Amino acid sequence: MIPTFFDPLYALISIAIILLSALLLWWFMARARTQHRRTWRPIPAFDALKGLVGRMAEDGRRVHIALGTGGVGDAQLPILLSGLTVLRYLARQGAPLGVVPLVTVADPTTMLLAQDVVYDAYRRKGVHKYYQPTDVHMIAPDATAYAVGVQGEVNQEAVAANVMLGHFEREYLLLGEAGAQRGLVQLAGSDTVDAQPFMLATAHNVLIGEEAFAAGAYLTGEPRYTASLRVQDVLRVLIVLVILLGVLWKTLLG
Amino acid sequence: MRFDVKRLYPILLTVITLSTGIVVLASFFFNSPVLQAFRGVLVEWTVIVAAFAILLGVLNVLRVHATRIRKGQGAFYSLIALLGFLAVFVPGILTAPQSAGDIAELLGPNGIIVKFMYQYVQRPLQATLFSLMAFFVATAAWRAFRIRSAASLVMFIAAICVLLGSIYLDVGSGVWNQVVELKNWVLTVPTTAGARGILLGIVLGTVVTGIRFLLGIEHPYSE
Repeated sequence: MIPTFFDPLYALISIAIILLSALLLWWFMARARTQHRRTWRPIPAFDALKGLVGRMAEDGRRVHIALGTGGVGDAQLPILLSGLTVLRYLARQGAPLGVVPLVTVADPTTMLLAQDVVYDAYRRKGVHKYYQPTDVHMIAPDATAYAVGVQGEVNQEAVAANVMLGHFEREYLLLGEAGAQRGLVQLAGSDTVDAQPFMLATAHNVLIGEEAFAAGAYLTGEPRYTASLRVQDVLRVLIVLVILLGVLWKTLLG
Repeated sequence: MRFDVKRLYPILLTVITLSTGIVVLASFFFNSPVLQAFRGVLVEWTVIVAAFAILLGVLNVLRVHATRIRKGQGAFYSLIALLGFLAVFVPGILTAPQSAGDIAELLGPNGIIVKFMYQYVQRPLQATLFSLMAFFVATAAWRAFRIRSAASLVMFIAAICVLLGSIYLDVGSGVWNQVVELKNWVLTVPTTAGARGILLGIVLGTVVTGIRFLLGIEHPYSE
């Protein structure tokens, strides 16, 4: 039987997972502050991001970032935050060079956050007078209209790299294929399984599953992000153990 | 010691985030009318704030397209976008008293003009765009199935199995049944296993990011 909301057992398990995750997060953060930086397995997509802005500056072209159709009040906020982390990284690198990414969003609340990130990047480098709110374009709240609008942005001559990290479903193909046909350097990641095969078919570098949430750890190395990856690893091992125990239980005891 | 408001600001935000987050989270686990009511109020506030964000979003759209028209960069398409916006926005926001008869039926968010634009412009365009995806899938598949690595080879073989199993060929029912069985096996065993593995990773990433938020370790706005 699938447990329902307000089921005491379900609530207890959920609260236990949340408390365990919170404690682990604190513990790993404390450890990350005192220990040497750990080496993570290489993820080609994040390696590709490093130095991307420099290359764009040399070419006089821009990076386009699509943050997907998620908004602040949605369940897709975590993947949106990952996209904003990548935007923050590229904007801070690009602000002193005058090469700030072109950002497209579908949700107005996402637009406000993205504008804040870009403005902050300018402000930190003391060049906030060059900030343009129109560097962040709101296209349309509808997923199909958004995908088609992004196609138009991707097809601009000035765009040489296309980063798509956010909530995308099947409409991803409309924008991913536009970049692939132009031969752009493409990086893609989403929190949906539906978009993954399309991403593999159109992008050079694809963030699969939890890799999409690892942007902070790989790009900034901050303890809060590296600790999050460790917590995810611990939880994954626990879940796999529970699954194996369940299989053994069912097999041996029916 | 001098009191610095700027130092208090992030602490205040963290306290508000933490307390609100915990109360909303608790409302999912405990069947308490007080918690449900509190969550309802917060959702209403979110809707109000989101409404203002939509207004800013509309202004952004207008500003981007107006700039393009002024600079002559894709001015024609921007003009179409602006005209389309006005064609829906103006009749949608205007209302007329019932005594105005036919005009009252034309105007308003549920008026004939807005319904017409949705039914006969937006929906057909969306359907057309989605039908184009078939061709996009073909070109993407062509690119993906070029065998460049062991992973591409596996993807290619799996695709051939699924394609053959999905069509009808008159080659004798015994052989064909095996092809269909192979297709079903590909879809239900390795594909489902892979998809669940990806989903598990996504869920864990989502949960841990949510906890960072809840604890005030992370926030989407700049410091």
